Amino acid sequence: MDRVVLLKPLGLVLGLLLGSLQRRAKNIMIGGRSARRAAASAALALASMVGNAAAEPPPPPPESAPTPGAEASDLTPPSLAAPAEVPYPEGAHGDAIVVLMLTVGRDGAVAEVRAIEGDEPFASSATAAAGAWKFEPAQRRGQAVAARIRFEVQFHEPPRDATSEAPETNAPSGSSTAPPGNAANTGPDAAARAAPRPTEITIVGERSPPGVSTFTRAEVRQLPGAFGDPFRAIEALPGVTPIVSGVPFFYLRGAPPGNIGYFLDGVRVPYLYHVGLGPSVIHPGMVERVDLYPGGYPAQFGRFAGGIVAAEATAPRADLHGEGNIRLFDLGAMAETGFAGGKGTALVAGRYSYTAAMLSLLAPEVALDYRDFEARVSYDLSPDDRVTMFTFGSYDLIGDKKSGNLEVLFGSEFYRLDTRYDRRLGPSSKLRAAVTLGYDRTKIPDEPRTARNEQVQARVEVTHSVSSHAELRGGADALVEAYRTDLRPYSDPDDPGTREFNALFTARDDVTLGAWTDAVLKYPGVTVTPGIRADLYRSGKASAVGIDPRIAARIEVTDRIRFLHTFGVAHQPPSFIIPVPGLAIGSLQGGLQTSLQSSAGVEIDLPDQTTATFSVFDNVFLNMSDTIGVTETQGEDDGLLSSKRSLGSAVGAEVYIRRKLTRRLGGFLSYTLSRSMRSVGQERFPSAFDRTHVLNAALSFDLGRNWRAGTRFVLYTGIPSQIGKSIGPPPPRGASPPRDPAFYRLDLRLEKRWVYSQRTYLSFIAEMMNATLHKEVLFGESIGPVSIPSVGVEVGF
Amino acid sequence: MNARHFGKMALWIAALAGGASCLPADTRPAPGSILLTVVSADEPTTMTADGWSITIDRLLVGMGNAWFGHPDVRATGRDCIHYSDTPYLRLLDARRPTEQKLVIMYGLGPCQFSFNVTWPDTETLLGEGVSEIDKALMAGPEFVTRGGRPGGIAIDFAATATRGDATKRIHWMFRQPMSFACPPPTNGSPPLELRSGESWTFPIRARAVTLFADDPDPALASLRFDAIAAADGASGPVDDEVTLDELELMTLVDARRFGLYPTVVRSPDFNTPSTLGGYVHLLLLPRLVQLREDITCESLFGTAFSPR
Repeated sequence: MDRVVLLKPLGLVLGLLLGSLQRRAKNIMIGGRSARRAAASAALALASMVGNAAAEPPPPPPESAPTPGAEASDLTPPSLAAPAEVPYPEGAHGDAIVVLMLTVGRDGAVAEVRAIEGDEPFASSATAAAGAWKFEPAQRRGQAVAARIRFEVQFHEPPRDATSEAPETNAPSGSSTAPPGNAANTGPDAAARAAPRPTEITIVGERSPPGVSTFTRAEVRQLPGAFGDPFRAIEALPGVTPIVSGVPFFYLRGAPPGNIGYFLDGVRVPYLYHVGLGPSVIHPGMVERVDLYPGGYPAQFGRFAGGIVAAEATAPRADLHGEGNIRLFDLGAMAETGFAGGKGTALVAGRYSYTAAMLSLLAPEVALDYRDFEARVSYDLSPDDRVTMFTFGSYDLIGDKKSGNLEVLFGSEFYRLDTRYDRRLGPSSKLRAAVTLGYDRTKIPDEPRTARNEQVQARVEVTHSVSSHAELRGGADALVEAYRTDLRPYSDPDDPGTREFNALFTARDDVTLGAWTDAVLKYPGVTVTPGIRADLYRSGKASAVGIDPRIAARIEVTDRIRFLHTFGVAHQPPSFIIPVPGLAIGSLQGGLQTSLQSSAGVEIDLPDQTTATFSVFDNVFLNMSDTIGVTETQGEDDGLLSSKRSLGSAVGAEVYIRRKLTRRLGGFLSYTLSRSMRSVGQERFPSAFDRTHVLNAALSFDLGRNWRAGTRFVLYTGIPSQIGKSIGPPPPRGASPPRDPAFYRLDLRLEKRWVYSQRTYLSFIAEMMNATLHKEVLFGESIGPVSIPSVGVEVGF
Repeated sequence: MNARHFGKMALWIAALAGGASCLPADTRPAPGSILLTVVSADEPTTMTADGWSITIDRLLVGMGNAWFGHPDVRATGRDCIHYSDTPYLRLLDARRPTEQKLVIMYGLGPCQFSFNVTWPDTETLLGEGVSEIDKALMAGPEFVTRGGRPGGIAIDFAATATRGDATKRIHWMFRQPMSFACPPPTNGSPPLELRSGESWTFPIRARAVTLFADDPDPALASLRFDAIAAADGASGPVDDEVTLDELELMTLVDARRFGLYPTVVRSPDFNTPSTLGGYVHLLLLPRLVQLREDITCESLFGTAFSPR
């Protein structure tokens, strides 16, 4: 039955959850190194500066690697150019820790130093000493940039017999970043050694685009309920309205899941979650960070009218490193090393679910299998040229085994091969040219036939800094896709569902051409980014053009207060209810969807490294194909398999108060108040998944002795309950319908880490989503409880 | 290692990406099929036992939404494997003597199938001689704006009865949806055994004159019209047009003056009709749709089950 395909992904998601078939044990790799071995010096006071090990559990990467928390890849953190020493304060006693926030200018000098943790007189001593330190400046893609970094300084009271004990350094051994002559400060004047491994780096003057919310993987590791998966963590961000607890598809400022685009390093990913509900199809170890653009996004992103989830892969690293984990239902590993003297790097990663074997014992009739892989090799042809080949893919299968026969209920796979060339064009310009090959395939439920997509995309991106006040960016791409669907061999050819399916998902060749440009204009206190993109869509014999102007502004009112504004127009071809590989509505039936997205907000730096953002947004969606948002009846997929169009709007306010989860005590509060409306004909009503209030609050805290705990509370309003049952006429839909009861859940996480060396660790992680076993009510029916336990072990080196 | 290794590794990566496609094939064997057709079982003119000549003027039936059921696995040790359901309706002129396709279904193993008689919706396919106007009328007033969900007309039946100089007309529109399970899973009938590559055809016979039977049991029944004709004028003037409302006003006790019209037979929904209208609705209407003699079907009122 063709229509089933529409509900299968979501239906299976729910079915799997409810049927306990998908007891995915998710685990996360969490850091925690013994970076603070007790320092002792025989005769001297020795203070050690280390990379904030307690607050940043993952092992620090070497200098050449981006550091978790960095705002961009290809970032080289500042490194000490000379030994850094801090005298033990006179008259002081005992050990102490001081955390400094340093601003290192482009010239390597410390432009600003501030003690953010620590007692006197140690704080003053560290602050005074740090002002004289000299760094190699941070570099971003080869260019020196100012950076704000966080250092931890450890003071250890000198023993009376200074020569009787060997010095114990806190610095990670074997680090390429250890400054010369800093291995052992045993001289009478030596007081501290600096291990330049700042774990949180902010590139000064290169703030994130206005309106974007970001999770680094280091933070995601600490977020209960996300299971260490960066893509799952975004559901906790403001603007996100869940469909069902535990299902990683969501509405974003009123935009349905099908209007949200997923990208990894600029490569479009057809879907993100294995078997529809996770874990994500990309190994978390490869993901440096995930940005969520809920609207008004930069011009480089297009062809999606709702929002953008853009992940950035870790930059290539030449040192041997990796991680692995084993959980209840799957195992994963990632390893990377260099070759050719560090000019080249090679990475492999993958994950495999052995649920098939387990299920064969528990439920022989069920087949459930998923796996993914990633591989990357890069090579620096010269200091200014790098070529990279990156491939990743995913495979999912849910089947029903009857009488020895396999019926594929949901099977999907996709593969990407991205070959890119990066070239630095002088000190102020760079270029990337890339070609991506892709293959998607989905088994259509209940039927022995498949939908396929073969694609090739070529793209080029150029960035040029005109001056310190202006940066121009631009790009273009061409995407050619061939969609093919097998004929349905065993079905009634007269079935309107089949005919409708074939009409929507036609066999055809699509061509999409796009070009974009924007400029980052920096004035004192004001940064404005105007941009525009244009896309030409050709699907079958239909054509359409989308012109998308965008603008974003950041206005620094004070050092701590900024106004953020975004506005953008976005176009998108008709979309499926959720992304499914190989299935895309063809021939631009019904025309392009259009969204007008605007937001305004204020961002405030609060004390203790806490940031608060308050935003309001107003989105309008024209000609949108949000079929599940306008569905009339529960349990019926009538009309879902269509390009039924509606007018949508979403208004709301968001609050986001956060302190990095990687701190000793970190957390965030994310709250969204919104109303998402739809209009069809004369009816105007709330979207089927409109939720007035959505609250996420998380807390992560260091318990000491390498124990770390976290909790997360999720609360949201029920959906409108005006959707009718399948029998009888649906009642007229009003603007303020009754709603299903609100839902809340509590997630818990606990980790213990054992550190064996600077970079080798073992973690045990227990996690529970919906630990209170609370049930959710959807369409008037109680679901669940949908609770996902996770127990696993993770190693890293 | 040197730069040449990059090329080798790149080839490996390309091979990995290109050779990774591995979704398994559906290993189910080719199924068997069941073709359901609809054909009229009425003669052009039917003489009743009480001398009326009946001509069927109109018989539009909304049928379809066929699906496979699952007989008791414990009985057969196997389950019905269904390859596709047919979740759509046709609006057919059931007076046509030639077979009209209803649906074709694909399955394997011990199977039971079901179908609905119900009002049309927006996607309902039209049979020969049926117009969009017919569909719109039967779908009901909500049809246009609400997707055909509310109750419309499942069977639109009109006939003319003549005897001598007397002529009576009827135009009955039955809103009652029904579903039929064949063979019924409850009475111990063995399921159909669908084998790979095997094709079955089941003509569904529409016999409108069944509505004039004086007993639900075909072995006992005679076709009679006097009782119906006598109902004319029960509400309003005698206008030679016998409505269902008028049948509702005639008790079965009164009707027994004209034929058997048993008063103790329970309908499929376990109601015992007491009026001629209820008798036609509850006991005769389900028998308007018949399969061949070797297949028994159980009808269920008040539902329009969907295979979805």
